[in-house]
Amino acid sequence: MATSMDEDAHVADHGSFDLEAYISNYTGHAKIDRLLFIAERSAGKPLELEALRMAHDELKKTENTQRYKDVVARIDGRLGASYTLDRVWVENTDRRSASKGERLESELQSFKAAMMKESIRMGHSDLGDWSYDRGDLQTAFKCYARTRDYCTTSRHVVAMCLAVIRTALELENFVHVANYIGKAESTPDVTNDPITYSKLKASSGLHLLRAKKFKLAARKLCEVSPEMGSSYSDVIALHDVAVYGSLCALASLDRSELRNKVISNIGFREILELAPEMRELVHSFYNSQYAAALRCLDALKPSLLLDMHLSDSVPQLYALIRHRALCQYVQPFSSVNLAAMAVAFNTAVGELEKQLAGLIMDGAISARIDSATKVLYASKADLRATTFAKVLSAGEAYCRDTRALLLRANLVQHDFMQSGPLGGRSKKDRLERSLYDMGGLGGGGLMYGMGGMGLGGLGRSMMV
Amino acid sequence: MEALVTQVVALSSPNDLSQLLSTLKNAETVFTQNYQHIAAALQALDPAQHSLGFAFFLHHLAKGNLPMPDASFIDNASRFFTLCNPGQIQMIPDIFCATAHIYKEHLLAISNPRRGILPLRAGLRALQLNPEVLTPLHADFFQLCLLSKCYNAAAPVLAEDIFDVAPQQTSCTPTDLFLYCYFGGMLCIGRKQHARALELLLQAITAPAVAGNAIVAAAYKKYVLVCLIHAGQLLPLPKYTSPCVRHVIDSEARPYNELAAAYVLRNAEKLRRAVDQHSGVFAADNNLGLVRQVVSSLAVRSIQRLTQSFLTLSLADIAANTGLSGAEEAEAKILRMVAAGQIRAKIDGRSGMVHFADETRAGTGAAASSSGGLWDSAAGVAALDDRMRQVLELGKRLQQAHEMVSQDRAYLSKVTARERSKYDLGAAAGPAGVVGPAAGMGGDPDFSPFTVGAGSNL
Repeated sequence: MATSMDEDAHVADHGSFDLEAYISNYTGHAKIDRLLFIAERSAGKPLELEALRMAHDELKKTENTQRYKDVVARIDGRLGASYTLDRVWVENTDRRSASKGERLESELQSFKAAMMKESIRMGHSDLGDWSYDRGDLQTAFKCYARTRDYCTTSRHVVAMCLAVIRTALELENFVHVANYIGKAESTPDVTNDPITYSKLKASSGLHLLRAKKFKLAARKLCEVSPEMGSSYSDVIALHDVAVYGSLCALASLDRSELRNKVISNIGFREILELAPEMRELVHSFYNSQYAAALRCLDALKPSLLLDMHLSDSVPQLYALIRHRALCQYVQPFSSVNLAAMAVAFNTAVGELEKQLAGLIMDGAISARIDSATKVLYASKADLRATTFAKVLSAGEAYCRDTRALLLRANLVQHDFMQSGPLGGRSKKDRLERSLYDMGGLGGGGLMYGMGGMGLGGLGRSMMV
Repeated sequence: MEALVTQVVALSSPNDLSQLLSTLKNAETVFTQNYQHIAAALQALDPAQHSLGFAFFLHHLAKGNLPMPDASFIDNASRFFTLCNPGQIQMIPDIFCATAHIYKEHLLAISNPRRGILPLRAGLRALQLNPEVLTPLHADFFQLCLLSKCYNAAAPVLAEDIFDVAPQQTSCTPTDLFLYCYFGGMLCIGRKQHARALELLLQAITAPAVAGNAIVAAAYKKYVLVCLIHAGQLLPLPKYTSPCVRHVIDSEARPYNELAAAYVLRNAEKLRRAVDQHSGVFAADNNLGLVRQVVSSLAVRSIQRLTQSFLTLSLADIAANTGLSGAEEAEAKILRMVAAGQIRAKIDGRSGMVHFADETRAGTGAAASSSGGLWDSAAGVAALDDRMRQVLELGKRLQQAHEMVSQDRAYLSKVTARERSKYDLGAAAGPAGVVGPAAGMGGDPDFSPFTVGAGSNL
């Protein structure tokens, strides 16, 4: 097991969560965001101070004074004198950034006056980068979006899209993320560059994960190629792709897809090497060693809860994976002894029975439980009977609807409506009646005039 | 007065009926002046042969200052309705219906609604051109059945479908339709035919309307409750429900919608709370009985779902799963359900386990053949055949109605006018648009050739 996930020996706490190794995968804003998230989630524990310290050091290397001040406020003097507010540095950095910003602005104005397209684009882009470094994400987003008008080659477009996507992901504005991913993917030649392609797929997977669309996220993440390496580490690390991808895949893909996309997929297999515990998990799940798989999951839980993008979805993913495991276990058998199953899943029989009952009522398993002997019997659906029943009820529904239709048509035809309190001549009544005016319903007489009863195919097929 | 009586007797053969009708209509003053003699004159007339005249006399007698209730009037009217001649009656629908209304009020006044059931049923049949036509007497008839609790008397009338309201022939008004649907729905609920009740109540709710209506609101409330009992959830109203009806429903029936929402959550506790919260409203609408049925149906439905997931289950578990208070209550409930045929189960008293009969598993060879047996027998195939024939007939009928509308002159002229206005560059569209609805309003003369044709075809 990798060093960063080595907490089997420890219960509850993520005391031995190896922050250094974990965070070394990231750079730039991703690093800071994640550190702050970890600090937030582990409030009161030593991990918090560790994370805040690293965040502080990292922030001093950037120009983001606002965030620096926040972090110092959160540290609250707990880390000693060297971690208090360094006003000198703040002032210097602010002054430096302000002057740089002015310079960029004035350059941009001159470019605009001179109408040099490429330079304008570079100017906007630089301004965006500057805002991004300052932590002013909204302005950065706007600047990047403005470069769109000045992009000439597909390379420009892709660069612009990537910048926007990165900013939008941080802003958690997922609508824009989706938009710009779409834009980038439709640029010609983009598939030729595997790194860019992977970046787009990874961003797409990330935003789908946040949108809780696990199946689509799994599919996208499995298409990321290992060549992306650490080039996208200011958004997402390859290790994350492995973790998110395999969790989503386990939760939402069925066995054949799991095999195709995850296990036989060479690219993803390489990525999985970076997260060996995930590889163990996937393989034991696929090989139906559910006890081992579930144990792995439980072990992973604390560190996953510290992950910025995943922590909200962890309970849901876990529930989905567990349900899928239960369904898969039961599938090949015509009768299952619940006691044996409880051992395999390492739960109590009563608990297991309740979970299975829930799954049966949801329709995920078609079986029945004999609570006296604690055995589950698979039930074969009698297709013939259900088909007959369906046919009869469809006929019943058709008859009912047609009868109602005929009556209503008759009512409209005789103008059989109760007039309002002022008698039938008021304007409102006339307007309402005109809704029922059969002639005004553009051709087709009875059938269409009734607003399409939804008899549709059934009705027409019955019309001999 | 004597002259009138002799005229009636003389002119009561089929050829002279129209002459008789005009004579009687012009004899208003005679009736009002000789009011005291009308009752006596009635004795001379025979309800079967002189139905037309009898009806006029009866009507004027009723219209006047008759003390309510009047036993002789009721006797006369009962005889009349039972024995009247359809041919003569159908010429004077409005008088006939007015008389029926007053007759009903008299019966209600003496608190003997039962008396009127058979006469009104006969009268109903007399007025109907064919069994698919609605008459105002339907509403009165149903009301009497409801008040006298003779639900089964209404069964044959309930079973017929109404396809036609013929306002000229039967002097039907929209209120009659609504009352028919509402009372009919209540009768079906009384007979526990929930599907038919839903059908009737839905007709009341989806009838085209331009204004809100208290009857429709009451019908909707019952519809919600019956829907919950029958289908377990509130089915959404079809899209052709008129907007003003939806408006009325939103403003008046909110407690019912909340009850439906609580029911769908399948939580007995929440349901009970919702019921208690709105019990005042339910009581005011006289729906408490139905609401109680709804609450018990929730438990029934939960147990039915359990039968699909379990082969055997202990009574304690059943009680826990369905929110009942304990094993004894669960046992009582299951016994009742088995007696009502809603589930098939066996209770093992020693172990407190309930065995649910397995309806889907083909356990043994015999069971396997019996599971398909339902559809292998001649009876099953015959039922299927019958249903298919019904569907085809209805389809043919729909096609006929469709063709008739397409060929109708008024409709065609409107469509061509609209098409023409589309190609004119907007100038003619304005007037054409206004002409459209106005022509629709005064459409009765246009439609009359259609309705006569429809009456004879359908």
